[in-house]
Amino acid sequence: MRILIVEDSIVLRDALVQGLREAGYAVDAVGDGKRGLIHAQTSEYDVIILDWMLPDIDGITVLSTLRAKQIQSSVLMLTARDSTDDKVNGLSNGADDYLVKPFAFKELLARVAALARRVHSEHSTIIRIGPLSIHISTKTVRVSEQAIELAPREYALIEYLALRRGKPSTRAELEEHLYADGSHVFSNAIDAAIYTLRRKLDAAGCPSVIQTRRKFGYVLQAIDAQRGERTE
Amino acid sequence: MTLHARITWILLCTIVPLGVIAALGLYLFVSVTLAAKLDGELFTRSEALTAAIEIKSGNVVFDFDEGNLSQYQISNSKNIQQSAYFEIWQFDNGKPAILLERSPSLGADELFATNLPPPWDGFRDGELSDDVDIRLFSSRVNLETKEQNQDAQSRGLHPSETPGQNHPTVLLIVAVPRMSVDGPLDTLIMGMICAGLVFAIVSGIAVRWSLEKGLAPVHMLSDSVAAIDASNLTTRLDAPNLPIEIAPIQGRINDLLGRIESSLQREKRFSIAVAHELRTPVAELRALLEVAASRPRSVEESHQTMMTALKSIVRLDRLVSALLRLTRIEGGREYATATEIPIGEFVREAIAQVQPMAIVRGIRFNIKSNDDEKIVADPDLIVMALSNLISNAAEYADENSIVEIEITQRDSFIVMRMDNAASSLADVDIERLGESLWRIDSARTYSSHLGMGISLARSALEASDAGFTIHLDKSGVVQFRVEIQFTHAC
Repeated sequence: MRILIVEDSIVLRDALVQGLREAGYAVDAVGDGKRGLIHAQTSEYDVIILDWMLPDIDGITVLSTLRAKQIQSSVLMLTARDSTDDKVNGLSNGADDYLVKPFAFKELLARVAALARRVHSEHSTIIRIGPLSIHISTKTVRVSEQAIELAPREYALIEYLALRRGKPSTRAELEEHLYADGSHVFSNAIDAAIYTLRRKLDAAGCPSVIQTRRKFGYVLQAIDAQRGERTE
Repeated sequence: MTLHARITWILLCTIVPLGVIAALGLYLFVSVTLAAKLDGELFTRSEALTAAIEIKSGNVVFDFDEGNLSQYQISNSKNIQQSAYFEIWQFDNGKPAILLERSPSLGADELFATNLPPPWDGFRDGELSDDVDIRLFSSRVNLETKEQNQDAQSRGLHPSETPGQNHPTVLLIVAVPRMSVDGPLDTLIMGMICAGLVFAIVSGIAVRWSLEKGLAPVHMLSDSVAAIDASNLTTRLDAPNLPIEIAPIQGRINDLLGRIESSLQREKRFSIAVAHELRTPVAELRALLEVAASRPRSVEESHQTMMTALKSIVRLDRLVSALLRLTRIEGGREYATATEIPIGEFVREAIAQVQPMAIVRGIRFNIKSNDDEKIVADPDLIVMALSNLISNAAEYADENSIVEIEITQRDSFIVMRMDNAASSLADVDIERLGESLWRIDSARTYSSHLGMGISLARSALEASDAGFTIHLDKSGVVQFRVEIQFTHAC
């Protein structure tokens, strides 16, 4: 999951970046509205955390511009403005959620996770694919109720594939959603991560759920579904 | 007391005395007119009776004709107004002592000739035994003179040219009931009472109706004002067809509403700014510490977190201290002392403190001042005001520009003027410049300032009784000007 933070407070911005990265998100962060607008239009973000009072262009203007340009990323307004009018203003301008400062970081994580699920039309916090279950709230993966240990990047990869289960994701798309701007990504990084993930799933007794579709990328799919497709 | 009651009271206090005065005037006029008419009648009767008195063979005789006498017959109780009375008394020893004749209409009554006080000539009021009020006219008739007059008249001579004899003087008293005067006067009083009551009722209705009509615009205005509360302060009164006397009130109320609205807007902006200023560092600290505590950290990481947290706390501390100080000054709890201050020296010290920042931004301070000039003010408050203003200039004046400071004496004041180029400022910024926590950059995080410099300076100067004005000169390069008027230490 890739997240953009638009927050002018350096301390808060850095803390959010660190916390969200440690939670397994790919995070980009900027300190003003103008750069936030450029980032949001040029990269595909699952969630944008947007402050209201920003230099250059305020958060509401950024938000309404994004919505006018059909940018569908979920937007969480993060602001000190706590009046009902402010909340209504933010939500009616296209925000998906509204969080007032100061906030509990856990709450922010939960809201970001909920917004990320919403982007992929996923309402449950547990995605089950055959014996495989991805627990989004705890960021754990189980095969037949047995937990398997994954690195944050591996978890992010399987979560993204699970949220788009049945739909192929290209390498570029995966890179876009799993790596932040400026990350040094090797050309075979996604392939290597897929290889590692498959190996761990195979070892746990859940082989062949990640399939390669030539020219379309990777897809996470239950084995039964794969057979059905082949039958067709 | 309501305006309605007040105007009603004023109108009644004006109308009622006028009505009473008018009624008294009418009463007096009618009374005097009727009395004059009655007195004229009495005089005529007296003249007629006098003509009927004759001296024959030295004796007084009365030659009344039937027409004359019939008026003095028995009292007409049914129509007392037509009755008349007379008595004729002869003088003895200078007093009327011998009753010569009286009208039968008097019956047992007397006209009190013996009790009449001198002089005997004139009009008087009296009363008969049956409570009939009468009007009397008594006159002394010198029968000699009368005879002389008649003689001279018959001979075409003046009375003094005819020799007379020694004839007695009589007192003739004629009276008629006052009914012809009192009756109409009583009727007039009753009429006036009735008219007064009708007038009072009609006046009351007319006053009420007039007030309702006259005060309708006031009620309309009042209703319009009552409909305005804190939720719709943007509403302005626009009552149509207001009288020109009330129209200015509507204008003033609209002006007042405008001031209240802008004041509330200012308060709202201040609340939002305070919320932002206080919540942001708290949010920073909370997020920073929660993320740091979410997993074990190295000593270096923990140290870095603590240093970052400390910076946020220092900023928060500065903000809270500034807000508290502003509150104390504005609440009058920070008392100003008055001592002599060398203003030029204070300004130079304030400039020295911001020199590092000024050098980085290429700002140069040019000060024109007579260092002997002294003002009377509180040194702490003046230091606070000057340091905030000069620090603002160092941070916000256009880069590589000159800040001109001039301290001059003007009348009994010392005026300090500070000009600096500020091309980023607009008129709307000037209006909000004195608001607490306002900064031209709404994000607030790029500046080391709290956005309270001008408001703190303004409050400190106001507490020091110093005049403070700021304005923008847009004739060429936009110039921000601060002018402070201090009390001169003589």
